[in-house]
Amino acid sequence: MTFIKQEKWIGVLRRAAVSLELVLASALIAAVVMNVANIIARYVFGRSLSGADEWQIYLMVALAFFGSVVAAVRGQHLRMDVLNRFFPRAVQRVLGTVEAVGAVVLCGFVCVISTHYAVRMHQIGSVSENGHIPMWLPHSLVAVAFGAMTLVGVADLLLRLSGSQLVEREPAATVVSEVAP
Amino acid sequence: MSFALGLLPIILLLLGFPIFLVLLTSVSCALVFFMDVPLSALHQNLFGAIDAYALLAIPFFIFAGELMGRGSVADRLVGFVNAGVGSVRGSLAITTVGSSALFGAISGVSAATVATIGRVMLPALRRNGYPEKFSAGLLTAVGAIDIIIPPSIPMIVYGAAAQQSVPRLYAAGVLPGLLLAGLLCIYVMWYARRHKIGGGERFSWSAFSAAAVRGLGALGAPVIILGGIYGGVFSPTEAAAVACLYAIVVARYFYRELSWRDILASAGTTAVFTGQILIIVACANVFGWLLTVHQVPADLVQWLTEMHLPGWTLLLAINVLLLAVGCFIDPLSAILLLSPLLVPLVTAIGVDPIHFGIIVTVNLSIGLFHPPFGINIFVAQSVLKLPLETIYRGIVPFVFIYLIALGLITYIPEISLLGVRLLVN
Repeated sequence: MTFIKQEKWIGVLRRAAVSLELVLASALIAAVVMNVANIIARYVFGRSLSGADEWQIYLMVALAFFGSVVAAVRGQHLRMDVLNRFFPRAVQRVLGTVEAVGAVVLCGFVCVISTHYAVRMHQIGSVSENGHIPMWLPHSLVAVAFGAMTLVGVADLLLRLSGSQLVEREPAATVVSEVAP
Repeated sequence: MSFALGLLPIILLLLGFPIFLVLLTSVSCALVFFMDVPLSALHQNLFGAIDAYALLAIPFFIFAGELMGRGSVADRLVGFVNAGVGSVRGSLAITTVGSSALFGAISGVSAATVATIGRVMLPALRRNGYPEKFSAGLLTAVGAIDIIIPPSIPMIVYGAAAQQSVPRLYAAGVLPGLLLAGLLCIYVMWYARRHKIGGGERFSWSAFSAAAVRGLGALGAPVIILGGIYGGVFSPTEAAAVACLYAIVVARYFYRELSWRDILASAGTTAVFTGQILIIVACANVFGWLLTVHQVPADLVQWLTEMHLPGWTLLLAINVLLLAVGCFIDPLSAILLLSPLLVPLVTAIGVDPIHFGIIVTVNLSIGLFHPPFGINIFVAQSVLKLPLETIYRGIVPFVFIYLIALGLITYIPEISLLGVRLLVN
């Protein structure tokens, strides 16, 4: 992959993450509005909005798994990188590649399992108790999000193999110079 | 099996892989190579962990804190506390402690407190002659109160992991949070007297009332959150949603500081942060399920019971473990990883799981600012532009104060449980 193409792909991924973040932000605000509307309905009209709790929970499922996709693009997943930051560059690069391979294999694995589960939910026509939401919908959120993380992993792997990477980590030298008296 | 659930995650964690990927590797290995259960159990546990109404409080409280932290809320809270403290020696440092505790009652994220209160207080502390080392230590350490005083995100996660009531945990956190704030105030007053640092302006009702009116919007948030929960009006999740709406109204219409674009940006930041946390909650749920299926917690309890260790020794050992873990792993991940193992242990020796939740939270709060890798240290370094060496040297006395508070909270359960009796029962 040439340098310009690499930059282009990294740019595409980052823009997609920004768009996804915007959608998730709207979902969060919608969940807040639903929750407050439910409280108002309970105290003012003496009854709760049917299925509002379920919709909020499934919006949170979307936030959890798709928020994780954005974090994957930006390299923001929580990790204990105390030792890793002090490893030589070459070791860091190898570990980064192993991580990308792991992400592809594991996220792909979860994607397949979750897809099977969502398909089964669709086949049996399961719906939620109060909101009558087809259950294949929230379950497929897990499958799609892990599918997206698999793609992010593939992109990261390809970029690494061509000498680049999605996220540049802080060099160990900076950390050492800061810690040293 | 012990390789997949014991050794493998430790190795991967030490190598610096993302925590959710570490857990996913471990559980996938266990399910594929060592167990004979349908693989759909993986999906069911991942989904089931997040399919919980109580967890909605996490994104809501983070969102409320984000909104409140973007405007002049910190400035107004500081003004209110400062006007109330008056001319006591070390008044500005006491104001720092009080404002952080108050901001903690709005936000559940410690790093946000360090950044928000620190930006307002550092220049003032400098102007009033506080040594840089002291200010750096105080601002970095004091933010950790945030996760002890409700609303606290780690307590919600502990509540979910240990299946305990969040309102009870919140009630149990009030007195330990105040105890910690009290101990910090005693220390800063002693420090100010020793270094001959003066107090602020004399207390006057007119200045205090003016500051209270100016900070009214900000002060309303903790009243709504805690009053709503303990007045029986809202559940913690509903209180968090109302706090979000309140924060939007105050910041957008009352103070006229945030545009809709800012509000959307706050929601976006919250969404990504939620993703970072809840993906670990989901994966840790599968990990915890596998540990339970293999009776690891039960075996551990039996092993320790056979050792006939006195309760205080076990609690001491757990404190040392949590302090060590807290220095390297963020509080939420640590709670999710250790709760399935530790909660059965302590309940077996008669420790109340609510009390234990507070012990865990206080322990992990120390890890937030403990050298060398506490997150608050790096926030203070990057946001407040303080040198790392100054922060490290400044933090030492505050670590000791937190340890004294931890000792009291661990061995005097009433400090935690009295709040539950007064507020919940």
